[in-house]
Amino acid sequence: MRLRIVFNGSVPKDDGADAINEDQTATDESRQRFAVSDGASESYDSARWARLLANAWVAGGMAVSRQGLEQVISEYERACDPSSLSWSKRGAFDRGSFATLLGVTVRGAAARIVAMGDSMVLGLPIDGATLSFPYSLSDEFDRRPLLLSTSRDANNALFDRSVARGCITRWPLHPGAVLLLMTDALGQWLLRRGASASSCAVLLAIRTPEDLHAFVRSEQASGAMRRDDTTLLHLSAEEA
Amino acid sequence: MPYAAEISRANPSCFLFVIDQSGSMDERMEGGTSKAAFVADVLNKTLYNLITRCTKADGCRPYFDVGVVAYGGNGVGSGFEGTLSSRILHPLPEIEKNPLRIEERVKKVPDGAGGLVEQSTKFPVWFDPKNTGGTPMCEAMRKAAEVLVEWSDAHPNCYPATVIHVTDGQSTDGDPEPITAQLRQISTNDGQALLFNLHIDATASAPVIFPATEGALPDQYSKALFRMSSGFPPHLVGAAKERGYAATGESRFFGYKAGYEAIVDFFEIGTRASQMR
Repeated sequence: MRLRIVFNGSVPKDDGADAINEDQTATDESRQRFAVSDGASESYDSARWARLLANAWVAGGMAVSRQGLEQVISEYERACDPSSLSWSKRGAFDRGSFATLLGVTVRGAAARIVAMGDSMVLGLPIDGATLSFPYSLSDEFDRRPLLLSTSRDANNALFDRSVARGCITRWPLHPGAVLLLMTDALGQWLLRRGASASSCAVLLAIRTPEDLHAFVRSEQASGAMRRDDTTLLHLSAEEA
Repeated sequence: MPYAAEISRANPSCFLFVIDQSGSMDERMEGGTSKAAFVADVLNKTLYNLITRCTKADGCRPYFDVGVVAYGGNGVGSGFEGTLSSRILHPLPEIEKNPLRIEERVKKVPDGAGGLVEQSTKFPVWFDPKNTGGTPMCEAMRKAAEVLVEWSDAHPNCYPATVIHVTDGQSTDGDPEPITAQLRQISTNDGQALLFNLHIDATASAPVIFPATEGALPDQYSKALFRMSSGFPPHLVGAAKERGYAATGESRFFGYKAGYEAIVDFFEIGTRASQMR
């Protein structure tokens, strides 16, 4: 099996603010590696951190391990050059940057999924059912998620064996199956509707950046969706 | 739901310190530090924390208007010196740009191998210890209320103002409870101003943070400050519990012998419902 990109788009919190969209995606169809990363607002440079995480995942250089993460942190530190920063930027840099990582690869007839933080993937149908991972209830988005950090100490909890096990799953794929990777505002919107057929149909119909923008702004205006950077990556399974 | 407005550059919130600089603040605390030195340290660290929390790669963002009302023998006025002394409130980036000086300090940081190493760090100083004269707490609270009314009128849809009052509790110009009751009613459409009283004391009593009753407090001053403090909005109780406090719906934003850490926790609990963006 292989996954094909049907749509990949993002809407920033505010129009005209693309430069500070802290959601990042990276994809490589030839290698069958796909990633979404959502940089946390309270971070020094979460857009850069999210981009590095997503790129490292897609390049295959980042196993979810301390060693793999250390390489990305080192790259982030080199890029930020903390010795050159003002006191306030240095203080913010020392607080760290935080981001989710949702990564998908294909192995044979299955998708291997790693989800650290509150970015979510919806699969339909998987074994005849609609599945979501890592969350299945909208309330789960109200908890403070564990995020990947540039601050090494903040990552300790992620490498607890039971936590790490809960970040990985494997879904069988068959032709026509769809994976929708999304950041938290969209994930919460979807699970509040129980990932109903009608709400899934709305997301499946999005094909252009304009479609996504109109949908997101409409839901935000009605109060149905939290105002946040919002990203959707639509993948479709087909025979290799 | 109140206290849910997003804090953004277009819709900032307000953080107002009210600081006791009276003569009694000369008293030494456990460890030998004067109360005035403790207050200056708390203020400097809290501003540093606030600024670094609001700073990104592109600079310090104006998520907050911040001011200091100081009171003591010289009356009531801005607690800032130099450029910042011209008025009470300033956008956070102005405060970031105008410390009195920047000191080189040494802090211990993890060495990556389970130990600690010393690292030189730059630490901005806005306040030096001051202590003189009486304690015109009522006048200070009236000034704070004036500032908050003006700010709230100008920011009707913003997250309401947060006031942190640091004192040793002995007002010399009357009973401050009535004016603080009025201050707590100053509101935006998102809720009433939150008043956190931090009572510093040189006695050996144990710290009491976010209590629900006056029972564990040692004297009339701490009990009065408890009554002057805002109650926990119900939806913030869970946030306080997450940070390890035994808070209930009856708890007040009050800390007896609380330190800098409690102020940071208060700030993070108080703004938990909102998102800085």
